[in-house]
Amino acid sequence: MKKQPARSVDNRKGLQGFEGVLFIIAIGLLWQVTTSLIPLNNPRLYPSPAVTFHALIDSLPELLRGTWSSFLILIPGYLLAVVLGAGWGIIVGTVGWLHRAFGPFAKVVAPIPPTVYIPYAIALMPTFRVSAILVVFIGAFWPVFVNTAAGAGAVPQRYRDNAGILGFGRFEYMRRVVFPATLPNIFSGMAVGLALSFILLTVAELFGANDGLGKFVQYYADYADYPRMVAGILYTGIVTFTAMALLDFVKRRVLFWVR
Amino acid sequence: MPGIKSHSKASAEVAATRQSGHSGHQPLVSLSVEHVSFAYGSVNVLDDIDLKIANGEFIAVLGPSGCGKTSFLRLLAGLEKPTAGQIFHDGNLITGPDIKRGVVFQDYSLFPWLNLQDNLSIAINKSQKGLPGSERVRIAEEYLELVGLPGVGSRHPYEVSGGMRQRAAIARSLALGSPVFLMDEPFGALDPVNRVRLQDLLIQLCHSNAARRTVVFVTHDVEEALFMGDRVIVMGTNPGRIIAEIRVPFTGKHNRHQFFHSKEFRETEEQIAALYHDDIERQLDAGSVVFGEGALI
Repeated sequence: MKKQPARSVDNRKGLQGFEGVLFIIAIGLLWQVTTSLIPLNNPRLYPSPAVTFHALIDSLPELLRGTWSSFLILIPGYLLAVVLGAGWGIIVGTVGWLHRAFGPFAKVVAPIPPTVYIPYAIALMPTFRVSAILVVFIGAFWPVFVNTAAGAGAVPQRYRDNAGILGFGRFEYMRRVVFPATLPNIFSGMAVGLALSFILLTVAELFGANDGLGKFVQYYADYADYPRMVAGILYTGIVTFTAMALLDFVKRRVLFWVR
Repeated sequence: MPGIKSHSKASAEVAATRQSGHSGHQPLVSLSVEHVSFAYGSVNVLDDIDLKIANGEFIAVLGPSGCGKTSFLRLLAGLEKPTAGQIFHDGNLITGPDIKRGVVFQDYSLFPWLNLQDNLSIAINKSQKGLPGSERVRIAEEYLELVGLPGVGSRHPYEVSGGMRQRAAIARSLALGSPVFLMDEPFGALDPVNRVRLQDLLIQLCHSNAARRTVVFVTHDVEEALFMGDRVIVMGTNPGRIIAEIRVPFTGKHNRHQFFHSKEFRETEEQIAALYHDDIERQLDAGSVVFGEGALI
């Protein structure tokens, strides 16, 4: 009798934390069941998990090459956006007249959906890769910049007080106080920017790439090879998730002092 | 006999002059506050503060919350500018913060993203320019040891207790080489035991025969003010102003047991209570709104 409640608590704990995994398994089962029950004229249009998994394994070399090609666009565009967005954000957020000068411009331009730049970027730039890098850069720059500038403009009074007491000049204040104090905002902007980068990357690839994740999906859709196409969607999801998880890991390491 | 006197400009000057016998050197005025008023928008925070603080003097600023004592300390630090009047440090008009005036806040003197060593190291970089990093780290460790924190330099502020953070904050002001310490309820967030320990440490570091710094120590604790200060500036509320100055001439000062059991201590404590009572009565008579929870205590 005495042990009963303890065991039931243990049972609940045993399931707790696994809800997410259970849900994914449930979705997988639903997928399997529906593919075998729903009669379709073209069964390839809605491939079963097993068929999709087979297609995924089969296309893995091609997908890995596509990932490499996509990352050659994503990484330079995104990193440039983070460096320039954070740097310029700190300066604009700290220097009053720059904020007044650049702020209104940013307010107008930042909300433009970056996908509308894609055709012009492709027309303007010498190669597809350069134009895609430019689009990813523009897309990721604004969230990073807007978040950073907001954070840099609202550095808590206590940090500013301490900077004054320590006799920091403007540059030292930016480097030693504004930058670390704004890091939480920079990481928020980086997360939004990274998600947006993947969207822009894949959309840009639909327009004119020879290779890459978005191109892979588009290509097999054109040839009605839906198992490979669905595999491509799943694979892109895994890559995006991994990139976001990696960013989150770095964030936790860097922002250890935030509580 | 505790020397309570109502505040006037003349009495402040007398008090500053009397300082001569105290430490044996010339009674140079360190901080000179001349008819300073301070307002936040339309709220009058401080009204006509006039005070001279001698070199090496330990001033306790006592007052309930809402009396503007923190604003007063920020003005001395140069973190705020007076609406009227001027403040001089060693004869120079204060226009902004300066490392000559180190500040210890209640609980946020350190940067949370730097470990204790680095928090001190950036101060050492200011007081002793051009030292290599390894030398700064060595000196930082020395200061940490001085305040009773040996071997914890690599820890971050969030990893240590509030008492340790305040010790490190004091060490930072020492490392900054500031001849004047401005302290805003530095031990207000500490438990009683740590509070007593840090009071003793501060006296040992700033107000013993070995060391004599000018200290302005803001507190709302009467016992702390009387125990720590050479002179206690009693502030009233609405608007914030000096309502009395108390010279603390007790014998056996800094002997805790003797001090808190002395007749003088109890008498002075009662007199301060009476002062606050009068101040609240005056406000009620004048029909002014009493605001700030401390004003009613």
